[in-house]
Amino acid sequence: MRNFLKLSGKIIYKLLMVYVILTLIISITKISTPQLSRVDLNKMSGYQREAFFKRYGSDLSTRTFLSSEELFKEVIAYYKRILKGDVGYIYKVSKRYTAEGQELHDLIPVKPIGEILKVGLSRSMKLLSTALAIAIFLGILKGVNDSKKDKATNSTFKLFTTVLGLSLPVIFLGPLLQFIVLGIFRRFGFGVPLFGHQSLKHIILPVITLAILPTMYVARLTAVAIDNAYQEEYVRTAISKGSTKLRVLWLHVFRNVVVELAGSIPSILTIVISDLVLVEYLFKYKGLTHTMLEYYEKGQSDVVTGFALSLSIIFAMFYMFFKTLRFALDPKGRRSTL
Amino acid sequence: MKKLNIPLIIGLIIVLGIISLIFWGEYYAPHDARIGQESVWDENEDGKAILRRAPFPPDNTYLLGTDNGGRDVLSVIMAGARNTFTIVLLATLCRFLIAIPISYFAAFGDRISKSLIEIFSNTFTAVPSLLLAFMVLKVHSISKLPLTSSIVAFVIVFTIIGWGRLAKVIEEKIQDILKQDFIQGEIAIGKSKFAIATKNVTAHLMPSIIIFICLEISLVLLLLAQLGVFEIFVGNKQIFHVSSLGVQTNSTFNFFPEWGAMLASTMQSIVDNKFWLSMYPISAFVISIIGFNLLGQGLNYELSKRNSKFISSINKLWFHLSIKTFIGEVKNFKIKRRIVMGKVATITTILLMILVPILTRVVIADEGVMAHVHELARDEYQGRMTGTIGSQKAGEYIVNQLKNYNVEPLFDDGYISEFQIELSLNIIEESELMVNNSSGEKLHELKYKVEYYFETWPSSTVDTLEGEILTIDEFLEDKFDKEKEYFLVLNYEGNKSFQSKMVSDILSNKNQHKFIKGIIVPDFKEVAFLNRKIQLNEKGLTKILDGMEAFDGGVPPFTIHVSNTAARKLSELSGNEMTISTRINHPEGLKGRNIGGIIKGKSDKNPIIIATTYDYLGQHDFALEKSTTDLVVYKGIYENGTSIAGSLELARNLGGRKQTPDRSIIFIFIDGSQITPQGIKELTQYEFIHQEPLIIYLNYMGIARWGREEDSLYNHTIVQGTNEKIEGEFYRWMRRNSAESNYYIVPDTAIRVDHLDLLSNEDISLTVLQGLKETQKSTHKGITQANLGEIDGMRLFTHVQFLLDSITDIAYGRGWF
Repeated sequence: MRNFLKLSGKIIYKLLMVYVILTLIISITKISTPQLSRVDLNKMSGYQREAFFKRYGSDLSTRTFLSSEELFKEVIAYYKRILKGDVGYIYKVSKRYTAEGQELHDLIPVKPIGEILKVGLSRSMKLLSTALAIAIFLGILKGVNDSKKDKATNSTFKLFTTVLGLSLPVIFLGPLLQFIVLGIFRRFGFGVPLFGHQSLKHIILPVITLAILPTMYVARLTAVAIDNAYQEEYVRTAISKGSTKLRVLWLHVFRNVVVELAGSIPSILTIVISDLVLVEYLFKYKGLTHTMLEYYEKGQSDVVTGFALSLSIIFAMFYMFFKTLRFALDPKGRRSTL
Repeated sequence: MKKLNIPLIIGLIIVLGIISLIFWGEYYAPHDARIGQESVWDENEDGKAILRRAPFPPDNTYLLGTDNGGRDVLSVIMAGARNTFTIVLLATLCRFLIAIPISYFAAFGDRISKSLIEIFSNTFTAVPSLLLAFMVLKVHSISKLPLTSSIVAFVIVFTIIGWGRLAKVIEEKIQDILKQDFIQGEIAIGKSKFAIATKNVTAHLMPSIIIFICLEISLVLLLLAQLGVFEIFVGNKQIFHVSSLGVQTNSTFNFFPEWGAMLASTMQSIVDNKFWLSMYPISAFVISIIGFNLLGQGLNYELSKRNSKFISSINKLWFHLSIKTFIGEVKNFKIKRRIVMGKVATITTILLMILVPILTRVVIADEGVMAHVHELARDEYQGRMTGTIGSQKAGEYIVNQLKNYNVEPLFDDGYISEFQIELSLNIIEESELMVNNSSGEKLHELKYKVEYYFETWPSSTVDTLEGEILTIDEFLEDKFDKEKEYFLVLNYEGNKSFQSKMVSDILSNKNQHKFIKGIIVPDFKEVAFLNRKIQLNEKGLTKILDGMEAFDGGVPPFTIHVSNTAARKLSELSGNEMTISTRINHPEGLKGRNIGGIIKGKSDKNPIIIATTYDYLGQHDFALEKSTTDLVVYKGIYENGTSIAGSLELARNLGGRKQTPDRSIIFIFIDGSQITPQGIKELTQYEFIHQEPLIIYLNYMGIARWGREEDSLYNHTIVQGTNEKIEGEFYRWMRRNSAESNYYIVPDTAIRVDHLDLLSNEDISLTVLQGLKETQKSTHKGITQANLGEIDGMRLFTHVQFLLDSITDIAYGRGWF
């Protein structure tokens, strides 16, 4: 339990670090978003003013992000809001002209970010968890198949497929898959949808693209781990005592392999989440990252912090899950430090 | 049999291929990698001509198809390797430059470095670096940067994102080394930390660093490719290109060949099922990534095998490179003969490679071009306004120069061809705007050109207009008498778009709104702003809307531009009588003087015409606006002074040659361009214009120090029919010559050169060269400035140099020198 607490503490510390850095970066990007530079409070309606005060504090009459003091205020205000569970609003900017011909920009809150965040989050989680589950399942199967077990040589073909799968990035696999599906559709008249997120069918292509790399990774890990396990004394003893191949594999080898796997999967999470950004964009799958980039391009830089935070929470969740899994499975690990 | 290191071999082959592409890719590319043919005429099955637009699928000419700009994909990939790997290698280098020292400090126990590494690597692990790079590079000000600064921005972002993770890996590696036994030994014999770090650790770290470099390059490549898919790439993002057939396209592609930019059309390629657009560039990326990965793995295998030898050779490297060793070797020449010879040969080769290109370059244009600019900036020329003495003097100067340069007169009666300018414009000498109350008392007065101006005047016979002031609110509430006459005052405190819609409504239904004499539009706020608006109308040139008078006997509403404060004042005075009166000068016809010189060629067909305008805005009395009585002379050296100088310098160089060119070279200096299109129109009267010429129109706007960061000229081509071949040939020469002096010729819409369209009926090729592109118009502020110090002589000189090279190429044939 103490170890567990220690781990959680560590992760929370890391999350905080991430958050601080992130906010800094966002404030830097905000310097150059011009649309917030001139806001005339006197011309705002009551509702707008309320939203504005809520967002930036009440002592600002006009504001630019160019002074470091106000940047700091902005960041602090943002922390306060986020602690209250308010991630901010999507704003509509409406232009107005004063008598002097000065251009003013009013911010009108349209929709809370939390709402779109929830939708995107659930979609992305669906994609990620399906891909990871498939990757682990298929990867272990392939790994078991690939491993030389107690044979002397290894199949070059099997190794080659794994290496190929590991070295082909999503930017290649995604479009390739799309062109293949498109070709099949034009030729034979059937296929799966290329773009979108509406139905379960839409998830097929993104999941395949996203799952290939982790599958190969898991396969390689499994194969290496199985080969290592076969070198162990207790396995050799079991084989020499005449246990069936399946029994040796299942009882003696596999359990150790799973523990090792659970420990290694977090290291591939970074790549998978990074690939998620691309996959969602390529397949127009409106998950977390696609929504975020879409809004960011429209100038809603507020979206970034909330979304990036939840992305790192996803990362942390999966990380915790696999660490805990390893912790639960591995009798040695429970004694050692995490 | 010795086992072959297959990854190393494949990796080396790929990487060597990439290196050769970086150096020679652009030269051996089968097609032009910067400009392609966007549309071609083709026949359909019925034998009818149809226009096909790029991207074209792969065929025999274009092995991998073409992109949206009609450029050969293979050529762009070949030529793009240089730009792509400039970013990649720079970013990798920067990452290592930051990561190595910090990881050393961290590994030797420095806490700050350690937490720095921790923070950066953690942040960019949890949040995908792609997202962060996207967010920063998408920021408007960064995404619109020109090529060089854009590369710098990319490198900085890539470095910040990637160094943390790299530093962590290196730090772990160093700690591994520090844990080894021999380090304990070194500590035991009393070696300092610094000595251990530099001597022992570095030597053992070197193999890993080399491998890390390979892996890091592939990581940066991957990030660049991913950003490319998101339409983020270096250089200018959009080219508004007028193709040779007059088809305007506005597609996202990079003018500078670069792989990342090619991926920007990935989504389009999928949607349109045009695989060649994206799959080939992606393959280029993937092959390079795999190549560097394989090289890394192969090296890893090799270096760990013969680790000890590699490490000791690193320690010996400094010994071999030092001058002391070399001197020692020279002393023992008999024994060390081979080594000394080898070293001397290497150094000589390197020196030759650097020096030969510098020494053999033929410089033919000299800085004399700035002398012309200085001459034209003199007050004596009075701003060269058409019809003035200053203009005549400037003309004389140009003629004298042409004479000196052995350029023969173009016209039968000499260098100058006079023509009559029929002015459709009139000059407003004075104007008054007064508001009186019903008893004739003066309530308010506005100053012409300070608080109001107008570009059109309703009639040549009327010089005073009277009417009551009517505000927009009153107008909407029908508080007016249709029998009276009114001036409608708009003010934009309400909805601007609604009001401007109403103006067009009134203007289009003049019959119903006959009671409105004029519309008062507030559209500037201060004098400085006003100055910019009327700077080209400095002389009060005004169009008279004669002929419209026939319209039902009345005067159509005309627009008066006023300042915002004035508009407010006027609407406060609503109901009072407003009088606006002017004194219009209908000038007699001016005499324009076009100047021309010719270097006769072997054939009269297809002459090359170097054209530029030489008149300017003249001088202006600012006494009205300021308390000073300064007379400002618009010298126009940004505007066309530099172009005249460039043209004269070309004449000097070309006129002095003994060889007769294949085709005639004609210099034309056009007058009257600021007032009327007459000068250009006059060109059509001359005989040479019917010989299918190539006109090079110089318009060196913006060759100033405050200009762009990028050294590029914008080329706006308007090709008319038959002469496309010559124009294309000239363009290609120009591009090659400009590349030699590190210039870019960018096909882009030039700032509209007024009246050039007049030539469109002739069978000519016209190419406009200028220093600013259409979108940079707003930054072009040089019109009223006359500060010679701001002109970049070196830049102008380079422009003239490569233009001269190109004209030489096309008129005398390449290899003339």
